[in-house]
Amino acid sequence: MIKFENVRFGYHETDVINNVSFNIPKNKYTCIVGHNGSGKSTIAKLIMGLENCRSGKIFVDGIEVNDSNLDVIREKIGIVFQNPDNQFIATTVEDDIAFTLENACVPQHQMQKIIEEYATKVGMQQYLKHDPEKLSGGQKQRVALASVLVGSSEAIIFDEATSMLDPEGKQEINQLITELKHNRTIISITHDMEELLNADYVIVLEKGVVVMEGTPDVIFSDIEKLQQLRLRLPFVLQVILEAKLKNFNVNNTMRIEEVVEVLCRSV
Amino acid sequence: MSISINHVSYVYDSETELKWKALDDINVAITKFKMTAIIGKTGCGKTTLMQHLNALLKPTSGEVIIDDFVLTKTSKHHTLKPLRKKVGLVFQFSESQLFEETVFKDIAFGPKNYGATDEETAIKVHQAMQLVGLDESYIHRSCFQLSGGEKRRVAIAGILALDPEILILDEPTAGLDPQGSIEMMQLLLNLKNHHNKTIIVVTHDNDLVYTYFDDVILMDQGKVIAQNNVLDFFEDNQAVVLPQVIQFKQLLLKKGVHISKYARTIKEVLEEIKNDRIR
Ligand SMILES: Nc1ncnc2c1ncn2[C@@H]1O[C@H](COP(=O)(O)OP(=O)(O)O)[C@@H](O)[C@H]1O
Ligand SMILES: Nc1ncnc2c1ncn2[C@@H]1O[C@H](COP(=O)(O)OP(=O)(O)O)[C@@H](O)[C@H]1O
Ligand SMILES: [Mg+2]
Ligand SMILES: [Mg+2]
Repeated sequence: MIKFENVRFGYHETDVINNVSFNIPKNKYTCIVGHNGSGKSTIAKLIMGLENCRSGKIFVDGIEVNDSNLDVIREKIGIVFQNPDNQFIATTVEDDIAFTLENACVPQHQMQKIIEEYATKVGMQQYLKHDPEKLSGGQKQRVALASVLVGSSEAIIFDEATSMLDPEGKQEINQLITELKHNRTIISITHDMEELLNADYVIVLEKGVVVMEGTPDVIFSDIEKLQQLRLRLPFVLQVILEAKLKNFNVNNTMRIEEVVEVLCRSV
Repeated sequence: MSISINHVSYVYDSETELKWKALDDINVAITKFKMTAIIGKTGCGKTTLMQHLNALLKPTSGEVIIDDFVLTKTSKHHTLKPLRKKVGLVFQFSESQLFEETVFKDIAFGPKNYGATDEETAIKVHQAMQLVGLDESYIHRSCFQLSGGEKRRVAIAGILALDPEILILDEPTAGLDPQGSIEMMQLLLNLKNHHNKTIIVVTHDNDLVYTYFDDVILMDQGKVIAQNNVLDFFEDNQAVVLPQVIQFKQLLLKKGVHISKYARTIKEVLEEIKNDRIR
């Protein structure tokens, strides 16, 4: 669905995206991980055509991204930005959601119902008349989510879109995203290593370079490399490594329930 | 000497149609020289409550008591300066508020503003940088060339340069990668353990709360609905998403292996199992 071919980009002289190539599969759930500053948000901006690459090519659904077809690209791809400020178009929550619906040519008389449905999905139904700029950070993220989800884009990029939510909210929103995943391409930029376990495809960035890429099985088969990159391991792998150190009979492919079995049998 | 919030309510836009009761009769005491986490769903009033502790907001009703200060609706502006010096507040995404050209100038802004001489200011800046783990090489660097985590340290140093007794941070790990979050926690732990600071943090990361904090306050819809020490708070709490280690302990318990509440890391849990096996 989204293809990078030898892409380079920098804000100043130095490149922050350094000869990057990858291919994000259509109608799958892809996670992009990497430390702060590794270039994740920059990649999102390049996909949306908010920045232009210095060299290389970017394709969305076979169409090369350039200044002449940004409308098509932005119709195909929705994005929830990392910073919840400055992504609102309207001065009330309901108008912001309505804006996406207008773009999708939804008839006026159906709008109110859909707005209420999506505001409820993200838990903001009490705030329809509020100014999104005056909401708390997590509430802003919820509104931004509703405004994107309500649209009909084929792919959605979530750039750390739940970073300011409480854990309950995170669970709710991740649930919402999972419901979507059957008929849309989802790209989730995240620090949550647990989320990777449920992804179809994973891209690991480090200093503007793709250092690992593949299914979660492939990524988590190279624990040494993940540790070298100083990435946190999912909880179950942390338990497994610690259990190995203590000579429990566990292996890296076990689920947490299986590890618990082994530990309990030893007592 | 204490921190207590008595019958505090706060209403935003109270003069308009949109008026919104963000705090609703809050009663809570916070123990000094500890690390206290304030948790709760987005919009429940955490930021609003924190802003009362250094008088950025004044209660619509009720009072905030910090040692010998009493803050009420009628407190006069000029009486608040000593309170703001005693209680340092680090905003959410504090790094976006750096405005001076260099790290030195940014950290020096506070002490200068409070009338410190150049010499005193320089000492304060050095001490503050040391506390947040920024070495001398940063002193003349431009804030704009630093990473997000580094910028956040500069912002915290700017507050520490005023030598607050109480340090309040609003979501200091939001947006940091896991490595950066752990470093931030170690920084705060060091301030508590070795510099006698009282640390109050708003956060959504219950795993960090469980590992690093002493006390927890849980808010919901403008009210405080629970408060306890961290071990007892999480041990069997239906109201919150449990830390991963607690979930792990519950899986073990289902299979008949009981782990004490004192084990709060994977290592400690496995050590208990191992000791059981030897016994
Ligand atoms: N608007 C900008 N101007 C200059 N440099 C930037 C800008 N945005 C990001 N950078 C730099 O580009 C690099 C990659 O940043 P970013 O894509 O935001 O990383 P991530 O999202 O992985 O944290 C970092 O070194 C960052 O400092
Ligand atoms: N400046 C403001 N004007 C009006 N309402 C506000 C303002 N700031 C916060 N609120 C409202 O007050 C409530 C509490 O907000 P806040 O203290 O920021 O919550 P939290 O920090 O727990 O997410 C929310 O419902 C929010 O929308
Ligand atoms: Mg980013
Ligand atoms: Mg807040």
